Amino acid sequence: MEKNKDKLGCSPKNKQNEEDGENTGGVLIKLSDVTKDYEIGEYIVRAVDNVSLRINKGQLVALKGPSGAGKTTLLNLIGGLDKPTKGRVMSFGLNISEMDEKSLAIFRLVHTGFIFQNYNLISTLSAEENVMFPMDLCGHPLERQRKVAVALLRDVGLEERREHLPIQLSAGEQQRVAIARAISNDPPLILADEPTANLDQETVNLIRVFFTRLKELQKTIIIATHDDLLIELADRVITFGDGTIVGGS
Amino acid sequence: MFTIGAIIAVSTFLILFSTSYDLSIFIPTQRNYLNPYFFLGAIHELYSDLASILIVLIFLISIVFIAIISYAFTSSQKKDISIMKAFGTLPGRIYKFYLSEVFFIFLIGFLLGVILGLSFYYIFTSIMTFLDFSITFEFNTLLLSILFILGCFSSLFTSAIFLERIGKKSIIQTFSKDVPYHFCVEKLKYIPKWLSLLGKNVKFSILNIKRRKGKFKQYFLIFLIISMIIFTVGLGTLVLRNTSKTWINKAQGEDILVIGHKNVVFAYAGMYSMFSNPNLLIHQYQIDLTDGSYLFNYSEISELETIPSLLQIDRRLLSFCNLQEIQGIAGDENAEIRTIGENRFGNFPVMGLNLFSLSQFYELEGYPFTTENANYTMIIGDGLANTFFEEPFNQRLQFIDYGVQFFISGIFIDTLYSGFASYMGLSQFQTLLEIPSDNINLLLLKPIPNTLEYSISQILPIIRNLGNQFVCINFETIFSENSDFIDKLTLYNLSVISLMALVSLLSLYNFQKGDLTDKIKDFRIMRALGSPLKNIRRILFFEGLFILISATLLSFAGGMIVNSLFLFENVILPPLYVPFLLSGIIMVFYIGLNSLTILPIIKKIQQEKFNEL
Repeated sequence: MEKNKDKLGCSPKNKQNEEDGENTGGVLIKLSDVTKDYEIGEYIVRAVDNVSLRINKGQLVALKGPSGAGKTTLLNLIGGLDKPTKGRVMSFGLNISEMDEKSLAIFRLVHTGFIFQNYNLISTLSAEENVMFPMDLCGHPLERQRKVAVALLRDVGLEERREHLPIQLSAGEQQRVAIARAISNDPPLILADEPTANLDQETVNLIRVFFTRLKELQKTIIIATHDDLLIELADRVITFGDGTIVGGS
Repeated sequence: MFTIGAIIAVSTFLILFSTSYDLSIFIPTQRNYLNPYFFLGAIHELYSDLASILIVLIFLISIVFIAIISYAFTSSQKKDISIMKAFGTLPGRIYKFYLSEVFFIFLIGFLLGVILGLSFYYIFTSIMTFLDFSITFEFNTLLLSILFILGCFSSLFTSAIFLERIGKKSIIQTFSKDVPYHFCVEKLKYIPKWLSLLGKNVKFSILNIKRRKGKFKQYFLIFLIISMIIFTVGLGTLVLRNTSKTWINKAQGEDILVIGHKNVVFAYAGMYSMFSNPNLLIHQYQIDLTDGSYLFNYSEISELETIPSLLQIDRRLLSFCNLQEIQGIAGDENAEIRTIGENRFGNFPVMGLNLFSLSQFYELEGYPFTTENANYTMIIGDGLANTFFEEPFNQRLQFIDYGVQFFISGIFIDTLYSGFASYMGLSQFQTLLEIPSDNINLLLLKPIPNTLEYSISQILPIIRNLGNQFVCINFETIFSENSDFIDKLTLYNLSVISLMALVSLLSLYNFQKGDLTDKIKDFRIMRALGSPLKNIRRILFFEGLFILISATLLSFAGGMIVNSLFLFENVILPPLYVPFLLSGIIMVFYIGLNSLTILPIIKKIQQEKFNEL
């Protein structure tokens, strides 16, 4: 199990090596002339158009812009969920736009934590098992997985509901589980796509607190959001429109 | 509708296929053969039992398939039903509406399936006839009607069950969350904590099965029946082939040389061929077997006894006789006496022989006649026992022309005259026919193995004494025709097994693919979180494997019970390892199938995009 863990590079030591050794000048993510096209039937839709961007380690970056501006596509490209049609995405010193599926899967597991707009919990697993899932993939010992999952669910106020299935949880509760899952593996990069959309005020407040804490922990966070209070937390705000950067600090 | 059509098509094909050799007790015999005795003996009985079991299993699998499809269809209308309820539609109207829909879908599917099944069967019979297999094309209204009624009932009943279930829920419950109908939301009580130690893929597949246990149960049932068909037919075929071949080989013997007048020898050979040839009939008007020119005095060729390579010299007297089944009396469990038999009569060959010098070792049910009781006791063939008599051991056989009656002490399983011959003491038969005691019309010789050529070379000069019309023929070719016929029957069962294997392949693919609609989002999430594709492949593999292993094991038990109840009573059982080996082969086949069906599924998952998350 330990061998597997090392192979995947899940251990903090490996992550640190990559972050410190391969990224110069504190730049964690670098996008160079990135374009992403989608083929929809006979049409080609350009979701991201020739974007170049650098994000430093420990920054909380807010991506804002209207729906369909390309924010989610950009997050997917940064997180290795998608590959650019043109250009290059460097993340943690790795050219993830050239990686094969297997390497990308390991990259996502080791370096990133995703928070999706639709929560995306695995339907057959309980809240606790959902949180344990990334750690399980990394090969962490079962006891440790359980300990971490319980602690994280306690932090998001769902300790009592840890054995519930996603369909037995409200939207806000599902999103809280999704946040706990995203950080369970202690990833250096957190990607969040509209994490507060359509949620109750209590959950929105909790999410804000969480992001503040993650920022203090020097995690690199990229959030696609319309939420002004979340944008206020950001070190940097990038405004997106028609697939390209139209403004920002 | 198309799935129902496909199921009915396969069922129709298999049902019609089962009529090919009049193999099922459910099918009224429609024999239009020249030879009315063709394949009507004990071996036919065994194959008929197997075909009947097969038809029951085919009905069962059709009903289960149709029930699952109908239930899934009605449950897919859950949202619409809820809306109708919300608008105040009366339950009776909802039942009427959806049950009518299900019925019409079934009806169209059934008609489509019957047309398809008939077309395939017609093409199949044409090909088989071209390849010289005697398979008939018959439209069996009775069985197809039963299939229609059972399918219709199963379709309407399962849909009504779903409608009743949903009717008991409140409108809010039916609308909320839209939980799949087969999804288990209860806390899993029997999932041990150490499950994770088996590996995350095993754990995940077990969780998937537990959560989607409704689907699991459906496919478990399907594979259980498919495995049971394959196992029952497979084991049944092995047992029957082994048994029938053993019986035939015992009755016919190996390297048997027959000496006699060429007309008698050819008639005798024809009588053996009648077992497997529906268009050949040897009867009393073709040849008078006891004509003076056909009889010969054994003492003229007794020099044969000096040939050292001959193991057995078996003198026979064969003749057609008018026989009548005499009614008997039998008592049942309640000690009530009843009359059995219908005084049937017919003309059949009777063989006079000496049981102490037999060159063939017949399978015998009952007892042989002895020197002491040979005057009033005889043996009959299995064909006569099965169709001419009701309870042969409680009845007697009368030689109509001589007014003599014989008790029946035993039944020979023999291919001679398709089992419609009788056997009595040679001297008693000679006395009855008023033929001098040394006169016979057939002589069977059994040489020591591997001395056939030598024996023939020694025999031929001796039988010249009888005249040039007398011949010595090796019956090996005639006997092998009957043996080949059994192989053809085996081929029939193998075809059924192959078709069921194809059905199981499609079902397994359907299981993996159909279930994928529910699971694909989970797999997409897992991949997004960093799970490699091989994990998903393993999860799918284990899910299929758990269904297949449990279904195979249970089908092993079920198949053994079915076989032992309906087939094993009168057969020669194979070694104990055979059923285990067969079950193992089915399991290995399924595992291979499981790996194969996953390939296109994985390809489909691989093509899934994350931007839909």
